[in-house]
Amino acid sequence: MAATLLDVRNLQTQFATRGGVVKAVDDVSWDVMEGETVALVGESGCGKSVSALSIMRLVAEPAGRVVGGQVMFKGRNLLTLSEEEMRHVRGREIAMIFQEPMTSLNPVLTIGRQLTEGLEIHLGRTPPQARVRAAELLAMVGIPDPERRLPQYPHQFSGGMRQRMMIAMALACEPALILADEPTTALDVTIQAQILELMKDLSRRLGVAMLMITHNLGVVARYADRVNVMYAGKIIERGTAREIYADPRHPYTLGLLRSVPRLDEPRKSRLAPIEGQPPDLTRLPPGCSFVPRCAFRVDRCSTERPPLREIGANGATGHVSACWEAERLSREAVAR
Amino acid sequence: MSAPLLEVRNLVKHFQIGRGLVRAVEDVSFSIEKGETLGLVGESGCGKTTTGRCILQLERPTSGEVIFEGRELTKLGQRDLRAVRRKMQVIFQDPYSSLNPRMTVGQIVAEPLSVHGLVRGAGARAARVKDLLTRVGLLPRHAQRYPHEMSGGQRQRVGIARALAMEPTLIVCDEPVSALDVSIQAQIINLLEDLQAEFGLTYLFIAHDLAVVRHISDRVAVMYLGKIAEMADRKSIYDAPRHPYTKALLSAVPIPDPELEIQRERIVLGGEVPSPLNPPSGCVFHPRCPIAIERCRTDVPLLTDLTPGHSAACHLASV
Amino acid sequence: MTKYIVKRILLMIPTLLGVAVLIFFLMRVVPGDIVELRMAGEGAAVSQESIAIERARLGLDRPLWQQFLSYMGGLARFDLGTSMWTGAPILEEIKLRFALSMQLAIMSTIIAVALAIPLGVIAALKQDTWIDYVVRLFSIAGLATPSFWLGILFILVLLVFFKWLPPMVYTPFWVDPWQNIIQLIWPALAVGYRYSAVAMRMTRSAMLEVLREDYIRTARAKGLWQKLILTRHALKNAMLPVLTVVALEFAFLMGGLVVTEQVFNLNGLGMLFVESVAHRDYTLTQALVLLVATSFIVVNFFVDLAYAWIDPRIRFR
Repeated sequence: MAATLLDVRNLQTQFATRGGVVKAVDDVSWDVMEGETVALVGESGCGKSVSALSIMRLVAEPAGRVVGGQVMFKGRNLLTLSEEEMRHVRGREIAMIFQEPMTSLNPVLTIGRQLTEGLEIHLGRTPPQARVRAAELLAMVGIPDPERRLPQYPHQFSGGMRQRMMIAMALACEPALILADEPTTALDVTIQAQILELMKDLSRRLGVAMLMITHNLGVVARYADRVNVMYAGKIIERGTAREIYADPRHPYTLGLLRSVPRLDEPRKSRLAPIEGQPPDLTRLPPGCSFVPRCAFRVDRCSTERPPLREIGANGATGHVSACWEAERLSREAVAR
Repeated sequence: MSAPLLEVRNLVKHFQIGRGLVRAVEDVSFSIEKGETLGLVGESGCGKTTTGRCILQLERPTSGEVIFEGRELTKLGQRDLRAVRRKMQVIFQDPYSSLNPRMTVGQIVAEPLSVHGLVRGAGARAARVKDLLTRVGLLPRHAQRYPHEMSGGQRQRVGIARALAMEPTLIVCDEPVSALDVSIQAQIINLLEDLQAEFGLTYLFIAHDLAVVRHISDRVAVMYLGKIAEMADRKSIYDAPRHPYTKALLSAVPIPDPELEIQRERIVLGGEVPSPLNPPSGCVFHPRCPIAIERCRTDVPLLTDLTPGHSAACHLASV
Repeated sequence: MTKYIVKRILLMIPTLLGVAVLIFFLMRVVPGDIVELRMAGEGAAVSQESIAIERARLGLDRPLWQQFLSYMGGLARFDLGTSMWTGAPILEEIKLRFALSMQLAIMSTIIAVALAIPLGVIAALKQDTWIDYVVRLFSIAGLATPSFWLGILFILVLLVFFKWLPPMVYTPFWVDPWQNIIQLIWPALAVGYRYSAVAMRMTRSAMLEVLREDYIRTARAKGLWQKLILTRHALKNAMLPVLTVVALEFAFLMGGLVVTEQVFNLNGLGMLFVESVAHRDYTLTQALVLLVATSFIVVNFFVDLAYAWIDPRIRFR
């Protein structure tokens, strides 16, 4: 039985903006087991990226602040560590990969330098040792002729290769967990497939757990073990990938799955979009944030915010949904 | 049978960058019938956006012909082009940068009306603007708003209203939903389809999202490194692709169904997309092709019909 | 890279030629000539004949194209000729003054950069705090304060509080370095302060921009500490615009410090420049302008090299 690696409890992160206080992450709890791949799915503004940055304590201050909750990692609460202690965690125990490979690497430093500095700082390797390891890492992520690449610069490589280098950098110090923030969104479809296969393969071989942040439902279906769906800063549904896709129990999840054109289904004459506009985080309604766009709403939804509750009466399955009408949705699924 | 609304013949566009030549579009030919939607699909660098711009004469083609409503566009001067431009409109990818931030929505939509003298009198123009805004699903009061006060989906609707203002027959949609959230994409796609039915519009739909293209297109052309790899009606492309690149592309698209994903055949292409500055010899796809043979390295495959209406540029496709 | 260097060196030649031609013709457009100024200036009545003889002696009566040719010919032989006013060879006139001005310019630049970069970085790191405001105030004061006024202030303070005056006679650096430094440090500080103002503001804004870039976020996510991020990741990227600004301002230092030179009784190029133009001393002015232009071009050449060294993207173009 795998142990829990990361346990996020009641995390709250806020931003002070001109329009008011934005609760980017609003009392959010989820966990990642060792070696597992967990997804945070949602559209722009739902809080998924901010969640990852909050864990790493990289939220842009002073406008943004983590104001509540705990982030338990290997028995310690990361939010209470000193900056110096946190620095030892970053890159060494938890690594992060970002969305834009074109701008996430320093243009004036060689690839070799950017790979070896983590090894020198966190693992105390000497420069020659670090260079050997750096070449190994590049080979591991599928970059041909690695020794020749070390003295080269990022601008000499394509987006796909740069993202591979980011992955190599993330793996350098053998972290237990990698946070991947939309790692393939900026890449072409065929390159995306390469990178995702690589990440899955490495995760399995090295036993590295992964938090995958994305808005692409297809990617999540193939690569994630468990899925958290976020909306307006809250988790509104969680379950295994199978549960979420076969038996969605929140109107937002259902709406998302229905509104996306799919290659595996016969072509519908009309897509079924989610009506309305994305939420304005400075002016959220009381009760459930999804109410203005929800086809299943009842009176209760506008006044009482639904908590994340277990689906089904037979004990803790792990499939939870924050919807008063979660039961009604299962009947819908059967009717579909 | 009437002539197609748009005919593109042997379109070539080269760009001179320093000492290198970027072969963005290499001998592309297709036609679109009135009321039809042709989807143009491919990854970055394949030339689909440049093709769209050449059709609109936003770029002048290096060679080839673009025949729109019977008129050859590449030979027209600016004055004549302006008259033709009324009938060909474009919707851009980025709803944030394609609208002038200093103009209100009403001004943006009214501008083409006054520039082309279509509607005279401020009162008549205001009425037409109101009409257009409602047709694209916005409210009349949005005319007073500025673009930065609206969401991405709403801004894209404004772009669509502006394109409609001229009562065009052809609209080139250049990645119109890629920059939008998933839940909004469906709204805009539905809107585009409704408008097509209502006004008898013809679309050239340029995108990289295969699922979206499948939904909205009647026929699809797949491009790779400046050339058309395969072209067929929607059903044939997606159910029975013949070109190895099309097959790989389709297999790379993740499907929101975990059970299916595990069973699917995965063709993961090796290597990188080569640069259009230095395209490979013979078939441009051969370095990454899983079934390439010796001939693929030396001979350029022509786009040939395999069945009526379904053509592919591959030496092995007819096998 | 070598191609880049060679190209840059080759570009220097037409630029210098252009300057040489331009100054030749510009000088002769200005009314009045040296002979009139010298002779008629004394108020005594001078005969047209004497003026004509003097003109012939100086070669001013020849047709323009002849004068131009002998000028260009002289340049090709690196012969700057003799000053029309004093009659002494120009090379002698300017040798010492050039050394002084150059040294002053270099010292001011060093002081300016030593001030600007750390202050700019601190202001960027502590953006919108009181430290930031103090630094920005300091730099605006530098822009607003004329360096000669500051120079006077230095001398006053030294005199009143320390009962000490810096040496008033110039000793070249190779003769007695200590005397040289304690004389030149004061004007260098005065000029350097003003010079640092623009560079400081540029450092601050370049730093602010760089710190917001994605690759800095990556560096933080790797667990690097702030100082390392600053020195290894951020500074190099921020230096490019700062270099440009410093190079541009350097030109002014070579010949523009007239009043400062007066205050500190320095025999630099500034005063010489003003005098030579006032005298319509064609040969001297031409030589001085060429000198300043050459220094500027050479400085910029090294800046271009530095660019290529810092930013690999430029190197490979």
